[in-house]
Amino acid sequence: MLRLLPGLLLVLSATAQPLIYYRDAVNAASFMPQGLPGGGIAQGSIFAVFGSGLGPAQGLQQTKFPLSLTLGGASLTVTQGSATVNPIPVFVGSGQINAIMPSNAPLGAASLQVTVNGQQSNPLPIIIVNNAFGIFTANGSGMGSGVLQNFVTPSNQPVNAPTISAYPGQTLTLWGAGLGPVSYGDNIQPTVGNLPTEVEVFVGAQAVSRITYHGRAPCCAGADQIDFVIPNDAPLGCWVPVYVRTGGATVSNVVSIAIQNKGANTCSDAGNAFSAATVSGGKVGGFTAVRAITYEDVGVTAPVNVETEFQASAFYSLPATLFPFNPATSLPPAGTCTAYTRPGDMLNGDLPPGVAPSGTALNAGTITLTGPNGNQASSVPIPAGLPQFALGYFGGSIAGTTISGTLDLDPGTYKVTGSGGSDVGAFSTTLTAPAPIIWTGQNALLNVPRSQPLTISWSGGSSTDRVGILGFGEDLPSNSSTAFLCVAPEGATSFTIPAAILANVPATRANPLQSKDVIYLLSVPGSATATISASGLNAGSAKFTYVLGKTVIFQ
Amino acid sequence: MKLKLIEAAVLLAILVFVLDCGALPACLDPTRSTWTTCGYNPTTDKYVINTHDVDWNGEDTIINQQEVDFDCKPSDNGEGGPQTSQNTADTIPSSTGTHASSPGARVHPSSAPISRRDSGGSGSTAGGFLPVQWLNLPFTAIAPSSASAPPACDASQPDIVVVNHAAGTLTRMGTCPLAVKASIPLVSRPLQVVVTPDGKQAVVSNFDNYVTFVNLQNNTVLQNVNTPGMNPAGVAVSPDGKTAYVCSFSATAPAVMVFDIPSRTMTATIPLNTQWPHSVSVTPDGAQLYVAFSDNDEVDIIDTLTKTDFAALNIPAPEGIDFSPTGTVAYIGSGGTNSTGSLVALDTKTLKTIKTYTVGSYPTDVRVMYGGAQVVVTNYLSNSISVVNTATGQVKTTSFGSGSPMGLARVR
Repeated sequence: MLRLLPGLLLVLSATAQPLIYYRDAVNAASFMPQGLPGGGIAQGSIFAVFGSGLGPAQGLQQTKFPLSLTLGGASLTVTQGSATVNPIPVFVGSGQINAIMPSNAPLGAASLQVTVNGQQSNPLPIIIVNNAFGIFTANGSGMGSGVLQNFVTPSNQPVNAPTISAYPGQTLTLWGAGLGPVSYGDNIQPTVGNLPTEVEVFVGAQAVSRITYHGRAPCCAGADQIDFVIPNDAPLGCWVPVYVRTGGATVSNVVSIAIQNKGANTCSDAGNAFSAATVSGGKVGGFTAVRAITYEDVGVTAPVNVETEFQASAFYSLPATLFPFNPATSLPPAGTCTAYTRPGDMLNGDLPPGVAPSGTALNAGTITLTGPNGNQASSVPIPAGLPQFALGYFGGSIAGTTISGTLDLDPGTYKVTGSGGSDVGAFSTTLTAPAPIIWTGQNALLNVPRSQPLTISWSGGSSTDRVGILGFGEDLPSNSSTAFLCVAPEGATSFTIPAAILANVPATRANPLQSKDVIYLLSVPGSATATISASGLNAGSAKFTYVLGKTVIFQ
Repeated sequence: MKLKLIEAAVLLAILVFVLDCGALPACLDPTRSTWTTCGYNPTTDKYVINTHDVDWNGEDTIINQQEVDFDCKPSDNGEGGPQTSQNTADTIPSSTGTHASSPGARVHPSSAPISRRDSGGSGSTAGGFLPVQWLNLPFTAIAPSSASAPPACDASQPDIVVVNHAAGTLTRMGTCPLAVKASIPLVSRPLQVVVTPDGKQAVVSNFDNYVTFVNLQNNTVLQNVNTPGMNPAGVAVSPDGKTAYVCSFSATAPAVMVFDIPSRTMTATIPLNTQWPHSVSVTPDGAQLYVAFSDNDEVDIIDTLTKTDFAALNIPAPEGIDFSPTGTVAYIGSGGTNSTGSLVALDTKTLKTIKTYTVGSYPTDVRVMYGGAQVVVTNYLSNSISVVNTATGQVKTTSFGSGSPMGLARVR
């Protein structure tokens, strides 16, 4: 049986002349841009081509083996010098083709063209590799809940979701593409058997010890299955990171699964107060006051500390969905990291899918922060409509420039009040701005080899500090970005970012201004926790957040 | 419900994703930039090199002017060459080899950290770069609303090179102070010049059938490559500095010539279907060339891997072209001698126009800066410079009397 796998996005209208969009041929599961290390198209794998006029308005897919080289009047060619191969289209629509890269496709740079009813598209440069695995995701974005089936019985293998959790020791079937070429025709029903490519599966921060299968899915040419057993000591949570490394070097997109102790269906995150509302729907609100200091010493005329202080508030009503995911609330469990890989400049408006929630904005009135001496530090109304963030700028300074403002958020006790609005009642709470933590060796951190784990240490603050590490690696010329987020266990004073999490960070360019590479250490001392209790809210919190940033060179 | 552990990360993630430079209008790289243009002073009947200060509010001020004894804007058809739209000047290496100006300062450990054009803009500047005061990152301090005085010129500013069409030379000028440093003899009627990303060479088109490779370390000609009948015009260099692309301004054999820079040999010719290609630009990733046919209202796109001309877009009188740092938007000066010109923002994925900005007449040079937040355009006939804020859509056009600016080169 041939199936249409998740991730097959349909785009609309057709035009007479087929056009492959610039840089838009990618692994059909991960959608990882080619500018990232894991962004090549593997021999024998399904890849997606986006454009216009690529096929009929009504999408078609192949229904029987052997697969034809033409579907809906569309065919593909890959050329490298005198070598030409024909990818096999398995789905064709006006805006997208999913095709299998032949197992004998030439490795390296090649040119892809689509021909639709005799009309040839533009050529598009692609990179063909032996293996580069992508994991299918439930929302078809390459991030969020992965397409993994919980093995219960041979006839009962539901797709994992926050309300359909797996448990430690359970076998899962992971769906993806890119394990590498096969020795038989790509157009026939796949043969069951492990492929020779070295495969490692990671759940949370640890490698899985029991992988029982890694090869083509018997049903589906170009698609792969990996069967593995969840380690008994795997972390529990709603968005436990899962990723695959092939050939000892190439890392897939990072997806998530829900893991709970056996017998529980719906997941929970002990430390994430927004988790329940994200999974089951609910009304949440948050306030944070932020002091941020970023030490910049890459691509600048001289090292400089950029200091700023902001307040931010957000109030949402989140809908309940089967595969809920928002990078801002769907956080990995403590002790683990996740990564997001996507086209664009994440630090300049190209947000990961789901960050701007699809939920309803809640009117909470005006949020006011009052300082320790009774002075009103900032008062910001929640704007109407999405994205329903209220931002207030307190001040900032950059040494050696004309930019110098008042910095107000000194340690002390602050009061946060909400005037109340049509959706959220009035509230008042206090929070404490604590003494900051210290990032050990912050200014000395410069070169970060991506092939090695990176340990970041800190001191100061309190033993209940809660620390996260948020890093960005962006390659502007190829329009490719990777962000990683790690959450340290409470009370920790160091955290080691696994090399596999850094693997898809692009290398810093020789011209460092063509890259955006920065690591932030985020800290919220436990003593700063304050609850926002207001009518109309299921959960709410107010916090002081300390941010330390450092520009780096990813090598 | 008591909140624990992770809300901090939640809110910080929100902050990082929200406090980007699309959300905060003032969140630009606020480093004031310094540019040079060529102009003309009708009172003295002299050509001048202007130094401009462009601040983060888009205010453009001429802060210095130096008369030169040559025509620095080779746009006169009466001499038999094509009107040229861009790359009549470019920025060349600083001699210091580093931009770290204080002890302990670190810049990227490049073997040749070179300044040229706007390193925060088009990827065509790969390799060398102009360092900034601070970066366009989240959690930045917000710039004051009122502009302060332009910074004084800095002796470490890099030099520029300007083609001297009439004299057949390439003029090297220091920019602080503005002064001619060298005059490098070429062949005849040079039109455009581009400096390689490592700053070591310049590639110059000579309309009289030569492409010249200049050693900028000693201001000597490395090689004049004869291109019989090709009438070289527009020049561009790939981001890796290995390949030069030169338009053949021809009615009978329009083409883009491909040169291997290390060996200084022509390795291929890409035939074009439209007459009179006169400028060429490379996408930041080097994957595509955009060729402007100002006389035929057309921009073609070439795939550099296969050397295939695959698209012909109808753009009225296209002139200079530059790209956003990510290569997702092409900015094309358009409109020719109409009373007003346009800056066309083209989606490089769909090849559809995203937005059209009204600028001055005959927009020639186009340069993206501040990480794509602003685009600077010289308006040759309206004697003005437009600064486009791509976030707000606001266009500030500053007139400079009868300067007829041409040839943008960023020096800081």
